[in-house]
Amino acid sequence: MEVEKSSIQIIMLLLLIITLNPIATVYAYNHQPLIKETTEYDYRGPRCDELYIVVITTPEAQMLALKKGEIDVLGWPGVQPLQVAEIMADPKIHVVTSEVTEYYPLVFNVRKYPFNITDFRRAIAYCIDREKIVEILLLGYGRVAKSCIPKAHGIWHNPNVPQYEYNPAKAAEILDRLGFIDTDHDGIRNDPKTGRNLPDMTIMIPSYDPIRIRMAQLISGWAAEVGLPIKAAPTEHGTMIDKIVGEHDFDMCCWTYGWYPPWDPISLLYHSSQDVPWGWNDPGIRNSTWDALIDEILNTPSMDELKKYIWKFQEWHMQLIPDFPLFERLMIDAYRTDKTEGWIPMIGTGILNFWSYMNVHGKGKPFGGIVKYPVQRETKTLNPCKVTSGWDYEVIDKVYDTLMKRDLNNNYIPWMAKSWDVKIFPENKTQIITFYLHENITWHDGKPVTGEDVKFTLEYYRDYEIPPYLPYVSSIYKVEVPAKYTVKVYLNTTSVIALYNIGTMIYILPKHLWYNVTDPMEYEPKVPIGSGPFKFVEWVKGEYIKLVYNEKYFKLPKERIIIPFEVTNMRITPSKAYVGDIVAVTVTIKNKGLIERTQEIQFKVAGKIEDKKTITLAPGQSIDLTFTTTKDKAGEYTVEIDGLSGKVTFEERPAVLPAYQTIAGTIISIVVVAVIVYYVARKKR
Amino acid sequence: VSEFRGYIIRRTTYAMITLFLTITINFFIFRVMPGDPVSIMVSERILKPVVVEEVRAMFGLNLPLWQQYILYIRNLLIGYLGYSFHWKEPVINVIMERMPNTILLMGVSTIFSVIIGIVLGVLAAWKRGTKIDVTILTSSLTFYSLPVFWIGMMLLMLFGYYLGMFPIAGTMSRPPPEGFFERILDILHHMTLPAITLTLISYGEYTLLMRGTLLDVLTQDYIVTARAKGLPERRVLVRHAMRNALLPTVTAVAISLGFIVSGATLTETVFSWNGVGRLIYDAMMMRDYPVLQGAFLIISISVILANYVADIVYGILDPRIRYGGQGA
Repeated sequence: MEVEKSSIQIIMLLLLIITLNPIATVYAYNHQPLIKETTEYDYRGPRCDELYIVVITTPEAQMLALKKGEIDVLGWPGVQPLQVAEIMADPKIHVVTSEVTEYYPLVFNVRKYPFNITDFRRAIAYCIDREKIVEILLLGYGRVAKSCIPKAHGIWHNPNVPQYEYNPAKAAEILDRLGFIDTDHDGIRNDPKTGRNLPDMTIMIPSYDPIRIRMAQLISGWAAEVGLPIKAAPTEHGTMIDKIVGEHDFDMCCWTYGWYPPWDPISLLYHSSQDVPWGWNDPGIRNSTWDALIDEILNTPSMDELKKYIWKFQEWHMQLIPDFPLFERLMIDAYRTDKTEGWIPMIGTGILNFWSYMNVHGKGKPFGGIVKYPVQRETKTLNPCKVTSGWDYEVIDKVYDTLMKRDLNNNYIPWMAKSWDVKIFPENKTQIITFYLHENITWHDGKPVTGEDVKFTLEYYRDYEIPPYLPYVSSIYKVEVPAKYTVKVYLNTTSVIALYNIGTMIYILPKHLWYNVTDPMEYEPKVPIGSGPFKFVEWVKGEYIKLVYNEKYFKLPKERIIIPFEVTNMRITPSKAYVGDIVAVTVTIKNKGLIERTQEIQFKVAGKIEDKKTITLAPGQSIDLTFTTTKDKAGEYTVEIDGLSGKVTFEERPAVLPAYQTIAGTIISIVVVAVIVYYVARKKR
Repeated sequence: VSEFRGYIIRRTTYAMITLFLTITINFFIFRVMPGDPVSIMVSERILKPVVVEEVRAMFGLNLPLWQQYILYIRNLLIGYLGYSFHWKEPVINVIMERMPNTILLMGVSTIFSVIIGIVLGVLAAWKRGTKIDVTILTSSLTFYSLPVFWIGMMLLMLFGYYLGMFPIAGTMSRPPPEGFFERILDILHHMTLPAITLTLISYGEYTLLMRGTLLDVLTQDYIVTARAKGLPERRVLVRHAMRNALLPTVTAVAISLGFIVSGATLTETVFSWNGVGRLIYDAMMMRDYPVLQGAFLIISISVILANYVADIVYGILDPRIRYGGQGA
């Protein structure tokens, strides 16, 4: 039966691989990468026209909506392992897996006996068969976590750290050595301090997650085999936070740890200073040597040293195991292939990431299309100062922009800043970061983005102590704008990390709209104006948020940049005419862009629009376009076609006698001539 | 007249006391729960620990409980429901944005439940002991006892996905259609499945109540007398039995009407219906005390008001009730 099950899973996985996006990084059942292709991505966009963020509150309804085609993609929390086979049966849906930067640890409360004994924690680690957890509970869509910095962190992950493979005999041996011996032979080890049975030790897990509940039950069973009374304690999420973070009242718990960049979790989760109520040091580990290492991580001016320290930290982490990394779940995302294309899975975040939104577009055409993706909970603010949850970034991250970005491989790349240089002065513990901005970035209201905006933003976040950004800007003591598109940031830290924190975490605000906002934590813009790839259109609360692509985005694909038709060679025929005559004005119009476009061409005479024509031209195509005009008053008129102008003169027509006067004049003339001829003739006679 | 005035004063006093107790319980019950809004923010690890206490102070959560309570009561007296921790806007706005959707959904489903429930209840009582009675009773009890989210999901899968007759989620299409009437139709289209779900789970209550009361009434002497007089059965049922049997049902309907503003948490969540029920669920998860307090206050006022009106109407209709308060 097990063999059959495994075979089915492998077949399913092969099907999954076949249907994968070509640039996906896929990890297979055996946790080894089967395909790792990276298609060249130009980091340009957006390519779609409109983006709808729709609220669908349950994962079940999201799945049905995807299958029915009401949404185009299913991202975080994604597809559950058990649903993969079902969803893969739909030929119009592709399933993509990607690595995540989070892991599930068994956190020990090391403030508490017997968890304050390092070997006791190690003994528990030896009791846990992590391979089985991945196999049984994740159906292979995950892998054993080997370090507190998961493999998806790339260069920051240290693969050579001590491991605790499942070994109940070794666990028993350690416990025996520590004196936790089952003296009364009732199956439960006794506490050497009291002589009584060890009390029940609980693993607090969130009650909404069946996988972790089952995992805790499995651990309970394995622990029982070596005489440890460990019990699963499913607990409501808010209560868990209160007990673990606020009161430190727990034995063990299973959280999710994981975010990027890697120095954040290290500096916050394990530093002694964070072992306070509502601090982030959940295990309560206090180790001065560790603290010193963390301080080095946070202050080193060298990237190489930073890596060395982070690797060193991982080694120490697994030796002391304040928490025991259990497993990493693979992100399983799905998207429809019949309406959109261009989804890009990203290490750490899955398919719903910045680059996906930049690259996705309607199927079968390079640009355009409407893309809809679901969120379980809608954003609560359009103000970057008020973000407090991941949902809040759904709009902020698309409407506002940052100086730097992380690419698909989590490398830092220039963005609003086309380059930068960093000067670190270890002797006085300061540094200067100079950002050089692109000169063609504009706010959504058309005004240019300059160094003044960056300076304003950094000082604004610092001076108003805006919570999400304060840790990144608090060390800034001066900002200068030596040139319009250059910003110098002075910091009283030597940390090499500062550049990346400021570069990627700070959303730049438009100074001209924010300078008079004095209550940033109350302010709620009706229409947020940023410089990001998407512009805000509308928010129907509880339903959807509509964004449209920023047609002036500085990173638009070259082909999508709207180049107005070139208008040349104006010919006016005739250039002088009598009042009432018709004058033809002809120009040559050429599409110099790389895509077929339609544009309205206006014909103005003396500044007033007289006519307009809409024309569509293929790339490189040119045509002659003619407008005509006539005037009933003499004078010189300026004719203009899309900026190209010329002059046309209308003159009064020479005076002409009426017909009867002409006839009468002719007759009179003839008569006069006749009379003259008659008299001349008579005279001669 | 003075007795009736006294009755109204008594009822009003009771209603006010109930309201005050409800307000107090509303305040304390959420604070007894572990965790607070800031701790939920902490769990997302967006805010760094250095700023957690500042945010807590900003929300007034660092004050002693009794001070928070006095502040809350003082705000209520000036008609201020507070400021949402989560949505960062006045609570009244947060609730009122969703209220129309909730009243629409709950109103329609309550009306259908009442009509269907009463008709089936009368039919079951009238055909007591027959297959019709058994069928109605069984189906009513079955739907009444089924979990609402399960019925919702089943309807969603069957009519939303497999048959494709109704949308999967939301109060409207995303984006909504152009035109006023098209939008109205769109909303009704989206409302169908949640309204059916709520009707299915609640009509049984009225059926059982109506059936039980009617069966009781049908054994009364005056019914026997009416039958003995040779009145047609239909007339006995409609003119004599149903009128008297409706009184308890009216009470139940009055209470239900009070709950119209409360929304239906599970149904609204299953169908992503943007109503007060879903708001309460989200606010609970976020420990957004002001929103919870505001929502529960409005619900309480609505229910207390509905009961109060029912009491007064009863007092008018049935003089015995007026004396009941004096121990008669």
